[in-house]
Amino acid sequence: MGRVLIISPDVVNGCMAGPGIRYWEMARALSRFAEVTLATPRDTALSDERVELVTYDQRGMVIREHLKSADVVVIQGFVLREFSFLKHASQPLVVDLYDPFLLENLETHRFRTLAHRHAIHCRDLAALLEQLRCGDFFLCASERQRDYWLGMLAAVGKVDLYRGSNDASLRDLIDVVSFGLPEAPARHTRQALKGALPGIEPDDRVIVWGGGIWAWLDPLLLIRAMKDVSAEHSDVKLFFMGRGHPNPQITAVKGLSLFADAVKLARNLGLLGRSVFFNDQWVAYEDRQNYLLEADVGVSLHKDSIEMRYALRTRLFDCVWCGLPIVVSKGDIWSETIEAHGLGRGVPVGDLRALIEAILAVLDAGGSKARYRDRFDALRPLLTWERVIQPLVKFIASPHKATDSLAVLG
Amino acid sequence: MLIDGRKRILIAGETKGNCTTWTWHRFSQLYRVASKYYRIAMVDCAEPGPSDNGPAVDSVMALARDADAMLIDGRLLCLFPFLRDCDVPIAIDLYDPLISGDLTAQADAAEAVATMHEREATIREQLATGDFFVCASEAQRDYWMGMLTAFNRVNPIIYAEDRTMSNLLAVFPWGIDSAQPEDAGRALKGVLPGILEDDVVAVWALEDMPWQDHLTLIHAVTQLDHFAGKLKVVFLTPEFADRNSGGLIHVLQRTSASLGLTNRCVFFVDWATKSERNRLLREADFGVSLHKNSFEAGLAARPEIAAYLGAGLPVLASGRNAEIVLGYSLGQVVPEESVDEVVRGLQQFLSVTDLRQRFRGNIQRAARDLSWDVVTLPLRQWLERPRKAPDLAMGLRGDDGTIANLSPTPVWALPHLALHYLRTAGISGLAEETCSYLRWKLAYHRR
Repeated sequence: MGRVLIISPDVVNGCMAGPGIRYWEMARALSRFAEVTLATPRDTALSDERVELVTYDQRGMVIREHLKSADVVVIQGFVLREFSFLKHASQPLVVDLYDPFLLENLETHRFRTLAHRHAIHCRDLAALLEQLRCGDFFLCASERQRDYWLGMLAAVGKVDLYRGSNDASLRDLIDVVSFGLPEAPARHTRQALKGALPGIEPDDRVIVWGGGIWAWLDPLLLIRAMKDVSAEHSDVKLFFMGRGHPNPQITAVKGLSLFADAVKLARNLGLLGRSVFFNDQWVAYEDRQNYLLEADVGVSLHKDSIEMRYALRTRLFDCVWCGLPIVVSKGDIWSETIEAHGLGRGVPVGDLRALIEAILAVLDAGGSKARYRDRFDALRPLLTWERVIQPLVKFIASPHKATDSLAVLG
Repeated sequence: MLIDGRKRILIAGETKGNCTTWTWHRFSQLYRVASKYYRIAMVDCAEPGPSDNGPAVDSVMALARDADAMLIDGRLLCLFPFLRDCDVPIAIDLYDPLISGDLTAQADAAEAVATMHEREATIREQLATGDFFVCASEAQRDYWMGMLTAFNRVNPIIYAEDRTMSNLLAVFPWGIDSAQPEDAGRALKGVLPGILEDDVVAVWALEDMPWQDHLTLIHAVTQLDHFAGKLKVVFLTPEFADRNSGGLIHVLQRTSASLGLTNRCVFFVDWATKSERNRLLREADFGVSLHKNSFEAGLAARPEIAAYLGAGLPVLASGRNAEIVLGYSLGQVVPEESVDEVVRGLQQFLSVTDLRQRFRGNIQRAARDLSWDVVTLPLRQWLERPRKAPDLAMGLRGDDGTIANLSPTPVWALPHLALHYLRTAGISGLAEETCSYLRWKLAYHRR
C-alpha cells in the first residue's frame, strides 16, 4: 500500500468550506486504497481511524517530516508557494486544479485599483505556472476545465513532453476528479429549519442557498426575486446557510463576500427576518443535511463571467445527496447536469422573471421532492467519493514523475 | 454596401497549392459574407516554394499598411513578421490547435526539443500579438483560454471590460453551406461498378489527419450482416492528399484490400474540386466521421460534418466534439474506437427506409442556425470596430513576448496607463491609481 500525503490549504474541521471538505472526503475515500496522511493548517476536532491527521506549521517542519515517508504528495492552491521545498521532492506531486482561483480573483478584486489587481493577478499567475511546471499528475473538476488546463499545460511545454510513451488521450497527465457524495444516505438527525428557526414555520416552503455568498455569485438576484415570490406566497422563505468563511483569514479578504450587500438589500426591500434569513454562523459539515432535507429547493446563481465557465459549485453535490431539487443559472457545468438529469431548472443569467417562474414551478409541483426522487437515486451512485477519486487511485497505484518523459527527449 | 471606403485585409494560409482545403473554404466563406460590408483583399499566402509564385512580400506589406484590420491565420506571423509591427489591429484565427505529431517519435532528441521550442515560439508570437482571437469550437475555446491565461492575456484589464472575455476570444464554428441545387449527373449509385441503384451509401470525406479513425469503420463493415450487401462505404479522397506508404490513407487502402473489401463494399473515389466533392456527397445516404480517443481529436474542428449537413446527410460520428449531431438530432454519436458501437450505429441507419428524409427537418434547422452569415457574426462585430486589445494598447506586452509581465508596470508604459485612467476614471481616478502605484512600487523595491 502506498503512502499519500495530502496537504490541505484550508481548514479541515467541523465547520469547513469547499477545499476542506474536498480533502477530508478525499483522504477518507483514498484510505481504502492507500495509507493516507492529511496535513491541515489548524488543529482539527475531526477524526477517522483510517486517516492520520497532522497539523502543519508555517515553517514546514511537519510537512518535511511526513514527506520522508510519503510516496505521493497531493497539493492545491498556494501550498507549493508556501512550501517551495516540495518542488524538489523526489516523490511525484499531484496538483489539484479543481479551483480556478486566478479567475475567481479577477472578480473578487475587480473594485480595487488596477495596480493592485495587477499585483494580485501576477501573484496568482506565477503560482499557477509554477505548479503546472512542477506537477507530475493533475486533477481537475470537469471536462471543460480539463480543456482549459490542457491549454495552460501545453503553454508550459508539459503536453509535448508528456506525449509519446503515454496514453494518447493524456488522461495519465490530467484527469477529472469532481466533487463527491458520501456513500451513506443522508439522515435527518434534528429539526434545523422549519419550526426551529424563528420566522420559519413548520409548514413553510424553504429555499436554501448553501455555501458562501461569494463575489462571483449572484445572491442579490435571488433576494430581488423573493420580493415578488413572498408577496404572493407568504409561506415561501429564503435561508442563506453560510456567511463569510469558516477560515477568518479568508473572510478578511476584502470584496470576497457579498454578505453585507445581501443583508442590506434584504433590509431595504423589507424582507430581512420576514422572508429572507441569514444564518449567523457557518453550518457544521455533519449538520448540513438537516437543513437540506427540510428545505424544498436549493438555489445557486452566478454572474456571466469567465469564472462561471470553469467553476464547480461544490455545495450543489449536497443537494444531490439530499434529493433537493435545484434552480441554477445556466452556463456552468451544473446547469448542464441538472438539465440532462432533470434535477430542477436552469435559468438564464440575471433573468429575474425566469428565476421567479422557475422557483415557483419547482415549489408548486405537488410533493415536488418526491417527484424528483428517482432521478436523484439514479445519479447518486455515480457521484460517490469512492467513485470520483478513481483517477487518483489509479495514479497512486503506479506513481511516476512526469519528468521521465524529459529524459526520453534527452 | 461599402462603409466609408475602409479596407480590410484578409489573409489565408496553408492552401497547399490549391483552393479546395477546408481552411480555404472557411476563409472564402468569410470573404463572401464580409465583403457585403467591407472592402476585402484576400491573399493566398501558401509558403512560396521554388516553383511557386506566392504573394510577394512587398504586396502583402502594402496591403497590410493600407488596411484598417487584418484577419490572419496565425502561422503567417512567422512568415511575415512585419505584420505585427504595422500597427493595424489583428484578429487571429486559431481554428487549428497547432498540435504536432508525436515528438518523442523523432529519432533525434535534440531535434525534437528544437521542434517543440519552435512550435512554442509560433504560438507565443500569435497569442502575444493578436488583438482578437477566434477559434472553431467550444472545446477549442477552453483550450485557448488556458493558453491565453498562461501568456497573461487573461488579465484584469481585459476582464474589466468584459467579464466573459468574449472581447478576447470568440467561437467562429464551421458554417454549413446553404442548400445547393440537385445535380442530375450521378457518379456513384448505378454508375460506379459495385454500387447499385438502391444501395445505401455511407461517405467519409477524408483528410489525412492522425486522429481520424478509419479502421474502426472498416472492421465494423466486416462484421455487418449486410456484409457485401446493401451498404457501400465510399471514402472520398482529395486528389492532392498525401499517399506515402505509411500514411493514413495508404494504411486504410491496404487494410481494406487485404480484407477483400475494396470495390466490393468499400470504395475510394478521388475528387479534385469542391463542387465535385459536394456532388458526390449529395448522392450519399449518410456521412461518417469517427475519431480516436486522443487529445488532438478532442480539439479538432470537424469541417467534414458541416459538409455532410450542407449536402443534407445525417451523420454517424464518434468523439466528444460532435455536439452539433446530438444537439440537433442529426444522426448518431457513438463512443470512440468501438467497433461494436459502430456496427450498431450502421445497423440502425440501415433499418431506416429514407434516411435523408427522416432527418431533413433537423438538418434544415441546423443549417439555418449555423449558416456562414450567422457563424461569422462575432468576427464581423469585431471588424466593425477593430481596435488594439486594451492590454496591448497599454503596453503590457512582455518585451520578448514570453510569459509576460509578472513585475510592476514598466516605466515606459506609464504614460499610456495614465491616459487610460484619465479617460476611464477622470482626474480623481488617475490620482488614486498614481498613489496606489507609488505605494506598491515602494513596497516592491523594499522587498
